[in-house]
Amino acid sequence: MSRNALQWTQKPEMPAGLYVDPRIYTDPEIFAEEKAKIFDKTWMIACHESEVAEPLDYRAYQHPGGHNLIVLRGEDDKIRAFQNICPHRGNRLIYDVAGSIKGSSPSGAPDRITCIFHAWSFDSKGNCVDITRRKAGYQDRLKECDVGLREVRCEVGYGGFVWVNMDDAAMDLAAHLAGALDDLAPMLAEPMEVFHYHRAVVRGNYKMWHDTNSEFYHDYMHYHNRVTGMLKKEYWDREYVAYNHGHAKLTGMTLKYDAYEGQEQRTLAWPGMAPAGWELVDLFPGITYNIRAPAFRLDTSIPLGPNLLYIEFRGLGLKRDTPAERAIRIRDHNSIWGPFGRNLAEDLLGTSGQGTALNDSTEAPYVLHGRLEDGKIHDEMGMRHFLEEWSRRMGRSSSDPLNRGLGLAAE
Amino acid sequence: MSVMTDERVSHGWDLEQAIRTTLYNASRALDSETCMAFLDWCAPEFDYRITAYSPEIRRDMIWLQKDREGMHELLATLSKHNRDRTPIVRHWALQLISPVPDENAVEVVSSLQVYRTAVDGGETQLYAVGRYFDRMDVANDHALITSREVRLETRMLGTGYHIPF
Ligand code: FES
Ligand SMILES: [Fe+2]
Repeated sequence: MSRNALQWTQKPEMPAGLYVDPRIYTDPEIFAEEKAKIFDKTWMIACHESEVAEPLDYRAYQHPGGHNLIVLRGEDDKIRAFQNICPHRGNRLIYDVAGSIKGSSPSGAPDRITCIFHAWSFDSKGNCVDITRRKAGYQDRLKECDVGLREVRCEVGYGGFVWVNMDDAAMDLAAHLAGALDDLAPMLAEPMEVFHYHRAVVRGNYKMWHDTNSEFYHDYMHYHNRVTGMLKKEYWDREYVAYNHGHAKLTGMTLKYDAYEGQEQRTLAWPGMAPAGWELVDLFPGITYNIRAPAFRLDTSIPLGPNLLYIEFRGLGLKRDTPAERAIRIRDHNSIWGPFGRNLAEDLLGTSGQGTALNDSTEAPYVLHGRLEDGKIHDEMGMRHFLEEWSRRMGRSSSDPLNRGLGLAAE
Repeated sequence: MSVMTDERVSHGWDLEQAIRTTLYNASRALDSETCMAFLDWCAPEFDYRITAYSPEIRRDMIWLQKDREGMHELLATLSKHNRDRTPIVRHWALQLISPVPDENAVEVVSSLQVYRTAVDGGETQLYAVGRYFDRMDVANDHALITSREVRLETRMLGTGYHIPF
């Protein structure tokens, strides 16, 4: 039976937590609060170490808290992160998305970051090494040692990723991960290398994308997954494992790729995994480790607003790959996950459809997160577990984020 | 500078006509989503790839790579996939034709622009720019594509696209 306007706005007959008020996806005030309480407080992946392979290589990162950061490998080989902003009058220090400061720049010497505006320069550890005509202008009121760059906490690990945290007082990365990547340790032990990077822009909320990565009920959307996964018995044995701080893992399985026309069974493996194995871990608030042997995919979300999202997609192989092995990883990665791949476009289509439809959150007063299947693959506990952490940090219930209490119908 | 004989001029003209005819029909087949017809204009050893350079990771990337059989399977399974149905058209312009010495083959470079036109309301947007680097077998003034590299400048393709450019 279809429902009238009043019925449509009634709360689901389920306990709170099993449904969501879509304003968590659209409300500008909630988004501003997420920047302060979530993105500026948690560990985010800025890039992979192979993107700054040589000393003095840098890579810019658009941090979802609204900051532009530079990841820079020092002359001492240590990777550091800085805010990409000049302490003099706030110019952006590095304009390119990636490169090296090894050579001289139009306004400065080699091995330095030199601000193009008034030529203050900084070394790879973030020390200011020259204030142009300092004595003449500042006499002894200001010295180089007073105006170093803002260094941001940075750790490299868990597959060689470069993690950053804006909060100097935050717990360290291992504590934040709470063991969520421990089972993947054998798969992350060997040095890796990025071979693929692209972004998608989606008119949707970052949590919608994380939801898509955190539930497998939507495998109905993927012809590829139906034939290579859902038809196998072990698919239904996959289970969610929840970790503190909002992370969740889905236990692995082996896929039957040759069930998909034109795709031979995968033969090249990934360390610690069988050929055609599949492992997946979703990390709060917007990172997914996704290994379908022989390729590794990493998703990182960069929300630009409540309903505008950049998603970064990286493909990785092993540093020791022969050219032939690398070619296989690239081909298998892109057949499902590239911009012309079978699955990724479907996932993005689902998320952008949801983002478009829920752009006006009054259109659907509640959406469901209520599948309970003993934590098995179509259980929606991955999404619920994420939102429990979200609620804890935000001090808001995801079922009633604006304290409406009785629901729309009563307002 | 060598002077072209009438015969060479007319042979060049026929060759260019053959190349244009193949490129036109191949792209029309993809545009109109009668995709299998695309393969009618490709040689048995056809090899296809979409590539782009990423300044972010400072690497060349291969975004899709298929041989003829792989391309056939990809096109044959399109209807089983959910996809963005906004139609696209490929606008291309022949830029350079270079004969391959001692072979009945040419290398052809064309500029490429891909436009999308919304089904609801008909608004057109530029979707992608790049180039086709084709190698063509041109025996008997009949041109077949033996390999194609779609080299994209555009790397932001929204949600992505299921039909190759
Ligand atoms: S703003 Fe950078 S040197 Fe003045
Ligand atoms: Fe999916």
